[in-house]
Amino acid sequence: MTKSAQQEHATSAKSATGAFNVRSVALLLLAVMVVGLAGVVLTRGRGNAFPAGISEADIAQAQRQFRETFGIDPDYADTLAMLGKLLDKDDRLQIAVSCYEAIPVTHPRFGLAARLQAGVSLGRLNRAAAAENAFREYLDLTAGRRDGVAEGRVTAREWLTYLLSVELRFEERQAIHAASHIEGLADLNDSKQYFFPYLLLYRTTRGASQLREFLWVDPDNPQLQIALGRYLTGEGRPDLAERLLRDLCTRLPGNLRCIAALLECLYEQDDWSEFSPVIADVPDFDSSEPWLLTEMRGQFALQEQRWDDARREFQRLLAVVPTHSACQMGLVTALRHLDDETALHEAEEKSLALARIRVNLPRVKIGHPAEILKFAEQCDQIGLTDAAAVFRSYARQNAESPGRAELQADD
Amino acid sequence: MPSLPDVRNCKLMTDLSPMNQMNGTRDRWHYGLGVLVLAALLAGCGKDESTLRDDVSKPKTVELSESSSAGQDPESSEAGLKPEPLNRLMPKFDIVAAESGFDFQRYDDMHGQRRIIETNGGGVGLLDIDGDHRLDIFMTNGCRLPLSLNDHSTPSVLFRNLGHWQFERCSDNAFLQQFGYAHGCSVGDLDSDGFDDLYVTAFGPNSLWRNNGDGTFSDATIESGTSVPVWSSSAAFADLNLDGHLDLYVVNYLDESDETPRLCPNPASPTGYEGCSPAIFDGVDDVLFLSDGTGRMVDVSANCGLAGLRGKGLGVVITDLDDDLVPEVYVANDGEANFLFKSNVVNATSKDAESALLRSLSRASPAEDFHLTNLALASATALNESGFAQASMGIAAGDYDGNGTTDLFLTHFYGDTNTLYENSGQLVFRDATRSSRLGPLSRQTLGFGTVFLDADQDGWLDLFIANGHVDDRTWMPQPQPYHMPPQLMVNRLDGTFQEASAWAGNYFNQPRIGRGVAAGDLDSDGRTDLVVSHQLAPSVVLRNVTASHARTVRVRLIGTVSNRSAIGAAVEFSAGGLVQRRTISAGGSFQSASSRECLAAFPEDSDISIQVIWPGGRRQSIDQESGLEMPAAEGD
Repeated sequence: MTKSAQQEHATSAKSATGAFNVRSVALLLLAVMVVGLAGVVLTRGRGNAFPAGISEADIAQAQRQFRETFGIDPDYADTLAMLGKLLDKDDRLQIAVSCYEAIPVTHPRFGLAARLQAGVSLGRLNRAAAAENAFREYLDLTAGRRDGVAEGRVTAREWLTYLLSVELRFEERQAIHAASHIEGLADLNDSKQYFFPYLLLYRTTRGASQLREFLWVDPDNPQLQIALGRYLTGEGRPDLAERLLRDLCTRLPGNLRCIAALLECLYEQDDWSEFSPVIADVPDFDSSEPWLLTEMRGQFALQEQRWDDARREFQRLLAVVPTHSACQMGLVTALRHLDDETALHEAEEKSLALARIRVNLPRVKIGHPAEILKFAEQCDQIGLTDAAAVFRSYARQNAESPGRAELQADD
Repeated sequence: MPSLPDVRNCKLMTDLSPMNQMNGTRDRWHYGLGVLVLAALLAGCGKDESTLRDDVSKPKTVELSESSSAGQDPESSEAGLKPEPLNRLMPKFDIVAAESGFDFQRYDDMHGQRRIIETNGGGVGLLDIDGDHRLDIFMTNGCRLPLSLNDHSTPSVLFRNLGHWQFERCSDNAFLQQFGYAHGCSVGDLDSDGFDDLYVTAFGPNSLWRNNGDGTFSDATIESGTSVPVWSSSAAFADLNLDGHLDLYVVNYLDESDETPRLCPNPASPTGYEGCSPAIFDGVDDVLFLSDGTGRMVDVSANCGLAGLRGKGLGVVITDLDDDLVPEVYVANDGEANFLFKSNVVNATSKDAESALLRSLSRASPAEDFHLTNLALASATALNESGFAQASMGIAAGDYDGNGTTDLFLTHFYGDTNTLYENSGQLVFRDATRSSRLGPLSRQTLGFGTVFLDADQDGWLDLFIANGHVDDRTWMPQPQPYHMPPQLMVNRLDGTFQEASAWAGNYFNQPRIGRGVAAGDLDSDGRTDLVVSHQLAPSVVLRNVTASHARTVRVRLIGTVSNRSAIGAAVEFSAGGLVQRRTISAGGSFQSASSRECLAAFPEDSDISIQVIWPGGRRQSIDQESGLEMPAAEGD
């Protein structure tokens, strides 16, 4: 093709394109107008639609109550928020959750709070996994903020630690408590759980009962199923627990929480012949593995009279949870067979001190600064200096302001 | 804020078929696992359950701009363990009817305030008050609170055993007028006159009753100096310093007042109160009296190693735990580490004796020379293997595994396990709760009195446990049973136990509030019978009617050089390669005193050899005779 021909072709093409563009733009504008109009209509329709199960009377009541409470006319999200609150009170929790979830996260008044409240309602519905997600979302959204979210973060963490306690997920609970302490939002009970996660009774009847409530709602949740196996073990039904956990571990290959729970079940039955092949397939120690698995490694080493190994395993866990009394006792047993009288004596004394601390923990409560102070001294005696400092802080605050014991950020 | 929904009521759910429950999720579920989970969930209905304390509680419910609260306390329950049939001879016990003359119901002055004083109940003492070789029964009783010296309405009661399962009350005739709020008792021949004396522990002053040998008793509390004016639970007579005279160890519990008792109001309780935890009380030091050989007891507590320990003790047993032929003292403490005291007495005949420290070590000045060292921690009997100071109540001491050493079994709180400490020798124990299979069997019970006994006469020690909660918690959101069935655990000869309660007679089918238990052969038939003290119900005598054809031997020891009661002696019965070691321990169980006779059972045609090991270590063979009963005096 010659240069002139090329130019002609280009001009022709340009002309054609120009004609096409004019039509296209017109069509596009029309389409935009149609779509926009439809969008406006649809959006308005969807925005004004309330979750199923809500009556006009509910909406009217919510709008009325909102005006009375806040003195302004509610927008759509405001109405949803007030509806959620009223439905919560009426125990219409599922619809309340739908209301909260329909509130955009960017809503200036209730965007964040709706996440939190949805979590609470889900928790009350015993939808453990969904509630956990909602609380975690709330904590993520409010991370780093200081503008009035502290109370919400405390609440979210209260619920999260509750859910994790019921599900016996202590490693994750510890992380939540750690964050509370860093933010200065921990209270006395948080600190008790944080520093003494294994000295408080954890596999309790209430926990077992609550877990079963969760499972009725979400029966195929593996986290809950693993926890159920552990509760059954603790309740003296290792046979049923073993069947459950074996089946579960088959379905969840490589799930170390499940394997640890199964090992614990076999350990409780003193069934080392079954214990051995299970632990033989467990990967080497990893610092992120479940605490229970490390503990079981230690117990197995004790059973096999590998005293050095037992000491190492228990010390690994004690480095993370220095108040783990079962590990402390395991360490004592191992040291009895190792030629280290000094270490043995120290370990024995610490085990005794932990036993005393455990008994005294219920007495450590708001309104009893002297008990808190005494407790702090007990912590000091076994080298728990961080815990001692925190509890001293509570004692000081409680003495100055009875009824209040929250950890201050500067402590 | 409205209450939380009770949407998954257990009863409701059990009405639904499993398939309905799984409908819609079947595709996602692994079917077998689903059934297991469902079975586990359904198993959560039908029986009370609870625990010590619940540390998880649902957080407060929050609202958008304000907070409110609503706790959820879902009801829950547990299905019972179904016993597997045992392919063996079943031990069986019959309740001896009230027509026998044994009719006793303890009074604890319970009016709903749930004072902690009301919880311990009473003990049982088996003693031979008149030397007729029949075991008589002493039952401690409570009284109205606050204590009144003039209140003689609910005395403790002594029953004379008339034989043929007939008993008669004889307290008045015996001048054994024990009033006050009595709990426990200990039996021993304190003055070596051949007749059993009796020490009674109480909330308030304890009492020593000296047997006059003519069927009557005299109050020797003042002259002996053994009044302990605090809250005592258990006590034990034993010759701790090997001087031939019985000493007395008194276990004290809590620092509490009967006039201004500490109360724990709870509006949710039907009575407005709940029972206070022992944790909020201070403990009280135990007391040790050493006999001076003249009838007086010298309180050596201040300088012997007991001062300041304040263990909140409930049970005690004194027995030789390290085979050095010197007794140790083991104390069960409530929520505190247990004690295991070893004395500084060295037995010249023991293999590790280094000096010729013989008898009368402390006769001249016991307070200066005698010392106890607490070795519980080093012996691994202070805490269980989880490192917990358990709420220990009763203690059974016996050689359950036939290795010649004395093991210890302790009863504990609801939700916790009872604990078996297996003696490995050298004063080192192993927590054998798991390996013995006793742990799960005790999760749903709260045990008090307990004894080792060969209930089925197979030559191996079985276990009896009296259960019952400390107070009524049936009203709680997580209810716990107040009345609980007693338990009989049979020894499977392989280091494990299996519950045999379902076959052991009607007594084991009824929940009760069991407290003290004592064991002994009440009808001299070679089988061990039981007496159990209850709260809020008549106490019972249980006659062992196990259909065994075993040959039984009963040895009654009389010390002449050692203490006359032969407490601390052991008898080894050997036949067919099996050695049964029976030790005459002091104390044991809960606030009770069992018989000091040693019983052993063998196959019918066994050739039995018997050897006695007296306190201090001298061995003595007893010629086998054809009779069931073999009295043996030291040196015969």
